[in-house]
Parts: sequence; C-alpha cells; structure tokens
Amino acid sequence: MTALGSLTGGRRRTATTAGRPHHVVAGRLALGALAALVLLALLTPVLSPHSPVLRSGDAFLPPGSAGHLLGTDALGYDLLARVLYGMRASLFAAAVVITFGVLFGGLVGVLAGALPGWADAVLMRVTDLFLALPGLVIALAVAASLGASYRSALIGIAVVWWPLYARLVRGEIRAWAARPHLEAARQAGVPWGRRVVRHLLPGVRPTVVVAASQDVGGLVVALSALSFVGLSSPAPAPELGAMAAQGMPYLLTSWWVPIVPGIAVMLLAVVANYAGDAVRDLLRRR
Amino acid sequence: MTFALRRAAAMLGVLLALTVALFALQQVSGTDPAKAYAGANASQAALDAARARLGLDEPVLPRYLHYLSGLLHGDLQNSLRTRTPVASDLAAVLPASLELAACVLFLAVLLGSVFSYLCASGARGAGIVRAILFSGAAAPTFLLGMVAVLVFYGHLGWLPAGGRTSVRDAPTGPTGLLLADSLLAGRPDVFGDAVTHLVLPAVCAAIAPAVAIGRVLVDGLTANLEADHARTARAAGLSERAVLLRHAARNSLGPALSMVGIQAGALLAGLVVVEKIFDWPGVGSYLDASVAAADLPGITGVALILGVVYVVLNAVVDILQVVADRRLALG
Repeated sequence: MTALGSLTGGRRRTATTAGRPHHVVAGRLALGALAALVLLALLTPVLSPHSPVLRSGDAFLPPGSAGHLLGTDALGYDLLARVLYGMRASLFAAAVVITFGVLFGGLVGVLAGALPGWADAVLMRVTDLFLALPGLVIALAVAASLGASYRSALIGIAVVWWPLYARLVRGEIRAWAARPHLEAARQAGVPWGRRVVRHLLPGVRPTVVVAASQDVGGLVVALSALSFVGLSSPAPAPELGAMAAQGMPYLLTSWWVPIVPGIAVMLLAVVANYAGDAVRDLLRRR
Repeated sequence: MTFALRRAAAMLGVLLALTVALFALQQVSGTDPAKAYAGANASQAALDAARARLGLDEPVLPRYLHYLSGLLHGDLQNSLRTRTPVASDLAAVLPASLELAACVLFLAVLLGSVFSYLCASGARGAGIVRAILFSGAAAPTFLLGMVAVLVFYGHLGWLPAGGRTSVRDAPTGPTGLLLADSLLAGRPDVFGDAVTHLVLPAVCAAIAPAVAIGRVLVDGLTANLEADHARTARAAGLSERAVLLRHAARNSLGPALSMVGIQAGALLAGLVVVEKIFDWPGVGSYLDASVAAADLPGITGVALILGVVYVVLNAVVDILQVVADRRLALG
C-alpha cells in the first residue's frame, strides 16, 4: 500500500515557507473544510434531499434541475443524495481502516520496538512480507474472496494498510527508547509496561497522528478504486466508485452521472490531503 | 553479486508468501471447487468423486503443496466463467496489458522527470505545475479516464475512446504486442492507430505514479542543489542548468528509482481501472469480468500475475540500485 500512501505522504515544504501566515491560513481553511465534510457526512440522513436508493424524479435530469441540484441518474435517483451517502461511506471507511491500522499496526510496532531482538525480528519480517506485496492487488484478492461487499472492501484494505503503521511505530519506539529519559525511568525501577505506556507512547503519538491524517485522502481514493472494479456493495448501494462504474455507459450522453461521483472522491481526497498537511505543520511547530 | 543472490532469495520467499496468501484466501472464501468442477446440479456421489479427484479431502498442507506444484506447472485452475484454464486465458490477454504497462511506466518516469525539473529549476510557473499535478494525483484514475474520454473523444474527437486498434486486419503475432507486431509486419498505419489508442489510457494511468516519482526527484534535486558539491560546481563557473542536470540529477536517481519500484503497485492498480474504462482487452478487463461473475479462480489468477510482476520488478529495481551505487550492497 506504499503506493497509495505515497500519494499523501512525502510532501515537502522548505523551512523558509513553513511558518508563513498565508500558509497557516490555507491550513486552517483545509481543516475547516474537512470538518465541514465530516459534519456533512454525520448529518447526511437529515440533510439528504431524497432517498439515495429510491426513484425521486425523471431519469437523466441534468445538474441544476429543480429539486435535483446535481441531477438524477439512469434510474431517476437523486445524485446529490447518492453522492452525500457515498461520501459518508467513504469517510467512514477511511476512519475504520485507519483506526484498525493504528491499533493493530501500532500494537505490532510497539511489541517489535519494545521486545527483545528475536521477537522484533519475527514481527518485522512478517510486516516486511506484507509491505513487499502490492497492496491494492492483495486488497482486491481479499475482497473478492470474501464476496463483494462494503465490509469485504474494508477488510481487504485494512489487511494491507496496518503494516505501514507497524513500521512507523516500531521505528519511533526504537528512537525514543534510546533517549536518556527512558534510561532514567528504567534506573528508577519503572516497570516495563508502564515505561511503554507513560514514557514511549506519548512520544510516538504525534508521528502517528500525522501519518493517519495524511492517509485519509489516499484511502478514499483506494477504496473508490476497489468499488469501481465492483468489489464493494452491489448496486444500488450509494458508493462513489460503484456509482461511477455503473454510470459509465452514459458518459457521452449524460456526463454528470459517472463524473459527479468521481469529483466527489477527488474533493474528499484534495481536502483530506491539505488537511493532513495542515495537521503535520501544526504538530511540527509545537 | 552476493547481493543479487540474497535479493533473489528474498524474492523467492516473498513469492512463496504470495502463494500461501492466495491459497489461504481460497480456503476462507467459502466457494467449493468441487461444486464448480462437477457442476451445480451434481449428485453427492459426483461431488465426493470430484473432491477426491481434486484432492480436497486431504489435509491443508498436502492441498497447499498440490496447489503450489500446480502453479509451478502453469496450472492456475479453471475459470468458472470461461470454463477454460485461467493460465491460457491470461496468456491470451497478457500481451495487451504488458504493452500498456510498459507505456505507462515509460510515461510515468518521463512525466515525473519533467515535473521535477520544472519544480527544481524554479522556472516561472513551477508553482502552477505543482498545484495542478498535486490535485491530479488526488483525482481517482477513473475520473481522469472518464474526463479524458469525454474531452478527447466526445468533444474534440481527436482520439479513440477504447480498444487497442480499429484496424480490422491488424497483425496478432508473433509477439502479441501491437506496436512491435505492426512494425514487424511493415504496417505503419496499424502502428499509428495503435499509438492513438494507447495515448489516453497510458497517460491517465501514468499521472499518479509520475507525481510520486517526481516528488521524490524534487526532494533529491533541491537537497543536492543546496549541497557543497553543487556550490563548488557553481564556483567553477557551471551554469545553474548544468549543475542541475549533471551534478544534482545523478545523485537523486537512487531514491527515485526505488520509488519507481514502489509505484509499480499503484501502476498495476491504475492499469486495472484504465483497462475497464478504455475497454482494453488485457488483464484488467479480464479481472473486471471475473469480478462480475464472482469467478474466484480468475480473480486469484490475476492477483497472482500482478503480484509476481510487482515482486520481480522490485527485486530488479533493488539490484539496479546497487549496480548504480555499490555502497548500498553493504546495507
């Protein structure tokens, strides 16, 4: 999954541009936009003008039609409602995958970083094995084996995403463990578990938060790709990738049917990427 | 040399893990190969016979070894959809994908280099290029593909919307790669036609990896331009351009090369999406049809092929890096 992680990670900002006001403003805007999108996702059932899976008008109404801001699709379903529910599903999926990655990958990383050499070696060999395989391809195979559904797609991506966090956390733990305050804690007789929880984990947290926040955009895009290939919920479930795939036959006659869901994915990804950068800059300045 | 051997051994280990993973997935999938083999309406006796014949009544380990030896003999099981061996299905569609993938890889490296050159040289408009490409990388490949079809086929009519060629009597052999075959057959018309069909899918699939590669190159270039050796080169009177191309670029190649290996995964995933949009008769379209038919042998067959390509490509990239920089062999 390094492939997609790299879409969000590794953005560079030189020291000279880092603390400038316009940059801070842009970061705040991005964070605000992400907060708005999350709020929108939470309130979708209340805000959605129509049901996403019920006919609410004529088919192929163009965007801007009365009562259908983004138009309707081939079945007369309201696209705005479907896109809102689709973005909700995307954000929820990203949250689930990241939570699992941080918890499970983090646990593996902590164990590898804090346990003696042989345990570290075994855990990291397994992690490396996962990282050596093409993430999306494995995710695809997992999702297909479990039978195409939203849950399968989530499991597929989660299976290949946690090793990134395991590596990251393990590296951080090792770095922090070498610092004098850890040695001091050990000399003072603080037990192992307490040392990890009280003295190591707080140091690791910022790095993990930054990585997690930068992963959201890539995850949304990766999940939409799985959904586009047909490995998520079957129709008519409102999912952005599947909506685009099912709308493809109408691309040249009613472009908005497949394009609007794609733009929604891009909107989520761009906002999430900029917000991820803003989180990183905020934490770095501290 | 010893590094190459060690890397090759590691590669074999990873490939073995890939087969274990795919085998395990088939075990948990809940589909019954015996039922697929004997047919949906088979009697219990026929099912049992099929089970014994396929070795399904054995414990897991012998079954895995059986599966593995099958793979080594080129047996990827039979497709439930086409009723033919997955291996021969894939052999038929693989050349089309290889051709597209090679073009995507070439374009990704080319675009990534151009992008990084524009950013690092500080030319006017570098910021705009940067912004466009970063947003482009956030766009899902399917959106890029569909917008490209809409604009270049639907509105402008410059390029075809799908398929490999519109020439009816296009040569199909001997390599299966249309670009090579058309030249071998002395058919420049087919070659040109094939190129027009390749442009849109290749560019769409190349953008995401190109940005990732370009980003690593930009980092390397800017770091190298601030380094002492670049200052020395400037002091010796070299132009900024020469410093960039001759002194900074060479030192930035290593990380960019490993990024190419990493991006191969995104490239393969993009390939699958792009083939579906552009109706490209390759592995991705085969996968799409397999998914639609819930044909698990077909899906795992594609996953295996893509996985093997990815793992081997990364091993080759690692070895190439050591060839370029011997110090890495010690690490």
